Amino acid sequence: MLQVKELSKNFGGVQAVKNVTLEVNKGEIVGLIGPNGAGKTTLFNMISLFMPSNSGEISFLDEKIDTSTPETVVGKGLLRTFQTPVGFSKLTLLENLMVVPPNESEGLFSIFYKKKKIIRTEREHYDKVCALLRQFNLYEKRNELAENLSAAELKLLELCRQLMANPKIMLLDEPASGVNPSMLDKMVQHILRLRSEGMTFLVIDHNLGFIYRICDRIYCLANGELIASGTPEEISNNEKVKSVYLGAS
Amino acid sequence: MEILVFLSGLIALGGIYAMLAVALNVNGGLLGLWDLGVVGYFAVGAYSYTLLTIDAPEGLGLPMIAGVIGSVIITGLLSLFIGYTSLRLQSEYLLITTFAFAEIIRIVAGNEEWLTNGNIGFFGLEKPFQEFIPGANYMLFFTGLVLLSLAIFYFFAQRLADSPMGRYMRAIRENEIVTQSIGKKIFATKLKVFVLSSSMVGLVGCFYVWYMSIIAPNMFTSAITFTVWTALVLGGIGNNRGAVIGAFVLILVQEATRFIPVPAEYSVVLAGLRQFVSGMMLILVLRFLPQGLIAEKFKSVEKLFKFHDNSLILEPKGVGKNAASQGAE
Ligand SMILES: Nc1ncnc2c1ncn2[C@@H]1O[C@H](COP(=O)(O)OP(=O)(O)O)[C@@H](O)[C@H]1O
Ligand SMILES: [Mg+2]
Repeated sequence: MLQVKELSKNFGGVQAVKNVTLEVNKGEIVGLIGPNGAGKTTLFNMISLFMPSNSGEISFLDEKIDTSTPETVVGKGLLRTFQTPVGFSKLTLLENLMVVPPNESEGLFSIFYKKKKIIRTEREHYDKVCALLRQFNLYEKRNELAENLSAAELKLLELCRQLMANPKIMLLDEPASGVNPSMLDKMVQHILRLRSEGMTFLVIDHNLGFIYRICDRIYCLANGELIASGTPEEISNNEKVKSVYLGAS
Repeated sequence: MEILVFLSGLIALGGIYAMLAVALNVNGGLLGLWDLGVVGYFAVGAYSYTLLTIDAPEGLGLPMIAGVIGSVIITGLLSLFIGYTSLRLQSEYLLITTFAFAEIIRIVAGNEEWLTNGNIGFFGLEKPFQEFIPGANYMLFFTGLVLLSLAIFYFFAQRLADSPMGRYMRAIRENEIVTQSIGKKIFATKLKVFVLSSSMVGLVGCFYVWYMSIIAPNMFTSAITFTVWTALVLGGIGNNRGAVIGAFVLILVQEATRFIPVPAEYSVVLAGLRQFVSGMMLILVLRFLPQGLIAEKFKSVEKLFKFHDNSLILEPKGVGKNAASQGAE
């Protein structure tokens, strides 16, 4: 579904990502681990086209997307979250999600000549948003501003928001960091449920317990290079991975 | 009667600034663009109107209505060009670029004598319906015209702010990167809104020409831009009611300083006092009401469109499959 071939990126003298090749198949949950500064977020930035790569290829659904724009890949169903979610702080939770679907009513003058239609689509989106917020236990807070949420709730909101764009694959950047154990259980349930509904994931996280629990396969990145890949079991017994993690922390 | 005319003149000026503040709020308040070019679009609107309507050889001698429409179109086209070239810049750079543009406009107006009559400008300019309303009453009529137009501006801006477009604009203001990550074409939107806001300012330029009945480059210094921004921050950024109230309060207070009785030799000091008063007001408001006199209101879609969630009764299809079981805990 998603193929990354020999992707590289350097910032001035720093080679943040070196010749990384990886693949995610439909319906999989794939983990991406590695110490801080390993280049994980940079890799996400390139895949979601927020950042140009220096060399290499990215294809999604058998199409090369390197030269595409972030909007286009979102339209194709590739969504990503951010390491530090902030949401739209001064928008309510409802608004945070209702702003997502592509909306013809987002014209400067459309409120004057297509009011009926706007109310109809707003209604549809509203129902969808309410259902989603209920699933994630955020419904009671729907009219609160996103800035009033806790860090863990913001992670959930971030996930909800990107879900509104109908992703086929979701790249999650550290969904578990700063989330307490009981919330983490819920996060795991949500991810597994979404996968059972047909979604694919590529997940960055430091919490190896969490990664081992949800992932089918794992890639490990260190200093921009892939040093290992395999099933959770293989990775947990891999000497290189162990040394990187022990060395780093 | 005189005091009435004076007061209505004051209200007209306040109304003109209020329209500018409402227009700027579309751009700076809702979309969060740091636009310091207000006086530039204002000048372009005013000069376009003047040159289109005054008689030949200086102007084209078109009817007033054509002048108004023309000035909006010209300001719109120019801001399309400015927006296209500068809206990809980050906030601070946009701020400098738009500021520089406004300065360029003023300098061009002062130097291109063949077009603008240089620093002298034009005077004795006509006002709308002047021939029907005699003498002192005209100011009252004109104030009414300004307030009517302000009401239309306000109505339009408010509709826009409450619409899905307004929500989308606030999302861009809050976080551009995240807005991009949900698949929105931000640049195109910014450009549209920028052109709309600038054209609105251009239209207000016509009112300014009518109000002053002269036009000259020194009417378009950056002080206007700062006054409008001050009004917006004072009243409450992102909020149309705040924009209007901020503009009236600021203009009334500024003009009231004229009435402090001082001997003639202190008049220069007094002129400085106006800036001081605006500055003090801004500091006090920001200290005690950081959101402005009226904070941005958050209207829920539920209230706006009278929605209520009936998914409890009627389970929606798709996403909501497990809603009942999950929601129970
Ligand atoms: N925009 C940037 N400019 C310069 N250097 C960057 C930038 N983004 C990341 N880096 C550098 O690239 C390396 C990888 O960073 P990152 O991808 O954020 O790591 P990770 O997400 O794995 O912790 C780090 O050395 C970081 O300092
Ligand atoms: Mg990172």
